Amino acid sequence: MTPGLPPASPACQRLSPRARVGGVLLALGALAFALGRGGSGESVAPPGIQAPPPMLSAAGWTDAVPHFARGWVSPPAHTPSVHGSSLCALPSGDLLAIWYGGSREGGIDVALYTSRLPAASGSWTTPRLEMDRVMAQQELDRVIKKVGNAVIFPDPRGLLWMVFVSVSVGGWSGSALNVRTSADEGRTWSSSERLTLNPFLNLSTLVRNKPIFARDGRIGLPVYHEMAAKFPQILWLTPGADGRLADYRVRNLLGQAGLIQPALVPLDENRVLMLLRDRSADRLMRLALSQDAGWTWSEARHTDLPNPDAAVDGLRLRDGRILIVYNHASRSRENLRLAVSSDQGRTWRAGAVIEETPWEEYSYPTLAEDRQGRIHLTYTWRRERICHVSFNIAWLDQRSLAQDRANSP
Amino acid sequence: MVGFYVSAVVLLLWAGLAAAGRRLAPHGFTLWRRLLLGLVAAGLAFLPLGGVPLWMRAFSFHSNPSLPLLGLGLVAWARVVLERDWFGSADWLALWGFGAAAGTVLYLHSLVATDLDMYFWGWERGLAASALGALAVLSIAGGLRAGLLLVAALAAFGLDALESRNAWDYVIDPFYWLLSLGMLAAIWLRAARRARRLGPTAAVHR
Repeated sequence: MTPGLPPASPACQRLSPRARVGGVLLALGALAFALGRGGSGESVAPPGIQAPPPMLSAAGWTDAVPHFARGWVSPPAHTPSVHGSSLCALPSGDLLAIWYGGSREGGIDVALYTSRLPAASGSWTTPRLEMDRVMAQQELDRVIKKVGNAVIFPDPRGLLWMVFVSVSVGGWSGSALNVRTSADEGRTWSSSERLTLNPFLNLSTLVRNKPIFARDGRIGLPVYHEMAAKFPQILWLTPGADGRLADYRVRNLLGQAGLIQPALVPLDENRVLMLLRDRSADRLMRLALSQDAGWTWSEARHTDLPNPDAAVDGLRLRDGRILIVYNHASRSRENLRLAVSSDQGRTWRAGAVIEETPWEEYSYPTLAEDRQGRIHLTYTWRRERICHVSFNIAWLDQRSLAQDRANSP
Repeated sequence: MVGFYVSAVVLLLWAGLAAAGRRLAPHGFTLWRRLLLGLVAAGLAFLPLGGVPLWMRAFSFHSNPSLPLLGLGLVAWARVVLERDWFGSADWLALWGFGAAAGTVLYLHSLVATDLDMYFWGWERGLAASALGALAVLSIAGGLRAGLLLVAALAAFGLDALESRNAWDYVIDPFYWLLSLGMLAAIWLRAARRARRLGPTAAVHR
């Protein structure tokens, strides 16, 4: 007899033979139903990723005059504290940035804001409140303590996606991800949907960087797990014909322990580079390579670039090189620099210094390229504002040459 | 999905109230009073605590309760409200054994096999549904009523009744796992204590 339970009455002994036949038929019916419903997700490697923008030779490059500009996405004192911006180029040519702001990181008044840089204009629009904890609570039918990191990106069909972090229990390691979509470039949004990505109370999945797009329509979004063991993950989202999320699944990269906030850089139709934030004592940026469109990954190896346990981002340039933006320090986030690799991440050439002030913080950079091939960078400026920098390859090369001269004995 | 969850919360509250009522009134409640407790439970589920209904607080913390856990709630409800025992000893043992085994495999396998990701296979609908179906058929063919909870899990998985789309979440959750481990430990302790009380001679004679 089981503890705490009275003796079983004859009626609750084993099923009768007739009941067994009925139960088995019921089970087979449920099985047929579950199999019939099917699913649109795939558990195999994608058949390649969407090719990056076509490469241009130096001769074919038209934007030969160095260009560099700096501005602000968020107005002064819009909120006391801002962080975690994400940026994307929209099909219309506009740029859209998202970040979170409030009294402090993790505060209950923190909200997600977006601002738009219209293609025909030189200034960012007034920030628009997109999501706060009360809105998230209403859309997700649960208690929300705070919202955090968000990414936005258009898929190849033009549908705009927003994936954002919310916390119901505990701190950031209690995070879960939510997704919403927009068919009008972020002017209106669908209701948010909670993603279940972890078997243990769905705790601790966060997002930071932009995705890759598979040729079969799937979206490979780099995410990461932070509770107890820390490791990167790839969240594969399958869009439905109706423009909403049809299916999803997450692949844990358990072999990359201690590394978080993966940033993906497509090299060609099959190979993808992953840059990783290092939480280990080594404090060196790590790289992993996928040869099958982001499905499986090599073991992460050290680069010779330092990483002060801070987010990095990367972009494949139109001439085939890789551009990264990172904090060039082992302990602090007091500078923000560019570096370029011509050999797919094996070696790096120092580029321009974007920011450098002792004891200040410049962090969480994000890169995007517009239709003209100009590169845009947004980042957290001293936790006070979101800064926007734009430049072109000609400027990048000019500054790299200057850096080489400065470094030569 | 939310409706399913609210129903489960009401059912569990109802079982809890009825169990408490049975302790207060040892001779039992009339059927009407027991049904009235159901209405009270429904009211409690929507009672705002700090501006948030009770069911929503539960949902915030545990949005994917497994079907066996909900089934346990239903069996408890049947016992205290309908005064019917639906499960026998073999069913309970199977239920605790399944919960302990499935939870240990899912939550702890990565300590041993660091590259294995069991949870990922729960998204493979065909594989997951077939495995669940086979387990349900085997347990029912063996005469276990507890197998019906696996049928319910399979049907719920087909209907996407939970927020999760992963089959594992339909059969196991941390609370069911911990409860199963605790109940198995209690069964083992009770058996060990009884064996010690009977002594080695009695054990040989048995």
